[in-house]
Amino acid sequence: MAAIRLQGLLKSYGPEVVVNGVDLAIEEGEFVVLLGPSGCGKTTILRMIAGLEKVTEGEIWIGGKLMNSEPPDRRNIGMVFQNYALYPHMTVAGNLGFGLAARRRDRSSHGRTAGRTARLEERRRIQDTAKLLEIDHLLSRRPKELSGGQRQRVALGRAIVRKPAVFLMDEPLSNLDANLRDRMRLEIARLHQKLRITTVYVTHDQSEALTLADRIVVMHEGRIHQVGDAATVYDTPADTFVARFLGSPGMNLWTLPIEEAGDTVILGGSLRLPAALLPPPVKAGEMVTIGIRPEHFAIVSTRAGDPATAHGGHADHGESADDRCLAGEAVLSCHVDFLEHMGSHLLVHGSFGDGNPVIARLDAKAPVQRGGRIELAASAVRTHLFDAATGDRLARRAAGQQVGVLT
Amino acid sequence: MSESVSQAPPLRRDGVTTQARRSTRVPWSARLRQAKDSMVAYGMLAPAIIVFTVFCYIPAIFLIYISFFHWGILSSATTFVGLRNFRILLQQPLFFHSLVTTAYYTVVMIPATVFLSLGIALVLREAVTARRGGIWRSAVFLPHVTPVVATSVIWVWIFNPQFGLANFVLRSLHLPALGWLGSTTWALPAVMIDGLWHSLGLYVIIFLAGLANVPRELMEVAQLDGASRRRIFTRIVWPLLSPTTFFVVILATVNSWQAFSQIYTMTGGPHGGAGGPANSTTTDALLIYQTGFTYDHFSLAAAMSLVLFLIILALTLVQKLISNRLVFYR
Repeated sequence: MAAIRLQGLLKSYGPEVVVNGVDLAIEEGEFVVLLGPSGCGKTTILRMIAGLEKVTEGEIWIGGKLMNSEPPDRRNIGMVFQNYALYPHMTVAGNLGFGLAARRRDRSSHGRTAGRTARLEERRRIQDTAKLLEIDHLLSRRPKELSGGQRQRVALGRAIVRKPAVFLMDEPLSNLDANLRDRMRLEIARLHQKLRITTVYVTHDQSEALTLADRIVVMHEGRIHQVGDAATVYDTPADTFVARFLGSPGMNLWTLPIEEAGDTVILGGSLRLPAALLPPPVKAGEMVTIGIRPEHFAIVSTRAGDPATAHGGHADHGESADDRCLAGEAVLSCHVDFLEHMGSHLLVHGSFGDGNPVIARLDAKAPVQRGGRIELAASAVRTHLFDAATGDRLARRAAGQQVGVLT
Repeated sequence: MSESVSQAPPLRRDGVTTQARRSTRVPWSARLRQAKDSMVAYGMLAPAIIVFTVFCYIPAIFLIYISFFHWGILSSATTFVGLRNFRILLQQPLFFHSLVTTAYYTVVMIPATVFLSLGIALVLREAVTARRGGIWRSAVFLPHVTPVVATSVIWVWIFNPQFGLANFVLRSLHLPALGWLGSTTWALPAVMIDGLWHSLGLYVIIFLAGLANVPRELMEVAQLDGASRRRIFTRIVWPLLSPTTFFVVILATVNSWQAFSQIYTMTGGPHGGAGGPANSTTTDALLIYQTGFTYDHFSLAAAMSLVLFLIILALTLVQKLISNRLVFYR
């Protein structure tokens, strides 16, 4: 086990900068997930930690040692590749034992008996690892005789059999079918809990990140946008990129000018917010970016001014939009463009103002019809504010209480 | 098992069950369409079949035929002589000498070909990732597309004992100059060097293709596993390259046993005396050519060809047997 520290890490290929000044401290035994769209530099960081890619600038520390110029084999790292990269001409036992044997050769110069005890020890470790991953009945098989899930287990086993200080995984589940992926995800979580090896896991799949990570590092275009546990990055995204990237579908984001600034603020014709939510001074004409997650909307009525059966916790009959707003809710009236029935829930795609799109995730039985109008409401504490120019998160003014809302 | 047999409908004499016959009755229109389809297929295959038949199969069969006859290219009389041509062959010391020469040529050429071309391919693979790597690849392949006859003339100059490049290099390294094509010891190695230079490009390209099939991740994993460069090569790359290596060995064997052009042109050519000095470069392919086209003993040349064919066939079979244990197919 070892802590990892990345300091001002930069990687460029010619003029193209792939990783741009990354600072990150990973504690001993921590499970950190690098999450981002493809091409964001997450795999490059992993390969730099492994020593497979040269560092252009910055420092990599593993276990308190500067590793920039150390070759991969001196870093005591186990790595799992996306396509498993099993040695196709070796049996499962051969795959697991290759690293152990290579290291034994390196140490060499021991006597013959010492060599034999080392070999016995290796065999025991291969057995133990195989048992841990439930592949001990496959030891004499070749990779091509294994299923995808079994290959994945062998790849995991090969990485842990050497008891590495650091465990690196590069999208290890992306080649598996959905069912198996869920199972292996659990398996990896279980394995980490048991072994507690410092792990850096790269993925573009947010569900993997949210379920596995102690901390998630959200990346985009070679930069870190946010570091935090699953709840933090989901509930308080640091900027509009994180807000949109996490969640499925991602957060609704609108950059709009303030049209009326009274006790309630109106944007885009029909989005009303309590003025107390916005940082003062609130002036008409000022641009502001508002974000609300689709799943935080509740339906208030199916036609503006015509209350219908309300769904969700915000059910309240006959209340006007302004009243709701003053009570600490963001209220939005929109046109329903089309519906997606997802079985457990309903995705409503709508629009308001000059065609600003809205996605709301509602109860599967919500009385919504295509072509109609609905009024949606979301609690003010679940309404996010971002700087319209930079996209950075704006601190909410004293949040809940002042607006009269509790979480 | 027995139950299913007893339940099966009775077989007719032609092996088709009556039931099957009834259910597979095809209307005429469909049969016509089927016939048309196969006509088209055979039509497409025809050019290849015709070319192979005219230029490969018919000559090959004819060769076997005349090896049992007394046959001349101008004489109309063809007499059956049985195994006489083969008996004559076995009494010719030069025939055995040519076999030994060819074996020597092959035994040196195969390892030289495999290791040199693999080495160059390994270096080139690194170069290919660099900018303008393609130029190097073309440069290596270029000799293979030049005509042997033309380049062999240049090699004759290189091996000129007085002012050739080869001896110049040897002298500048303070090594004794050699007689090369004029020496019975060094004429064959000189020819080998030319042959190697000419054929290497092809094998390098084959090895490069093979190397491209060895995933980079495997080498990276091995690196992380703590394997040295040598161990990565011997335990990962080399085993995964075994099908390619096997292919190259077969190709090099066949080409060595058929080596002719560069020997013919470098050691005398049409002016006569090819295979010299003192038959030291007379390979069996050259001997076959001379027996047939210089001395007009076509039947004897045919018999030699047949023997050469059997030798190459046997070698290939042996290699195939060995390869079953050494070659790993993914």
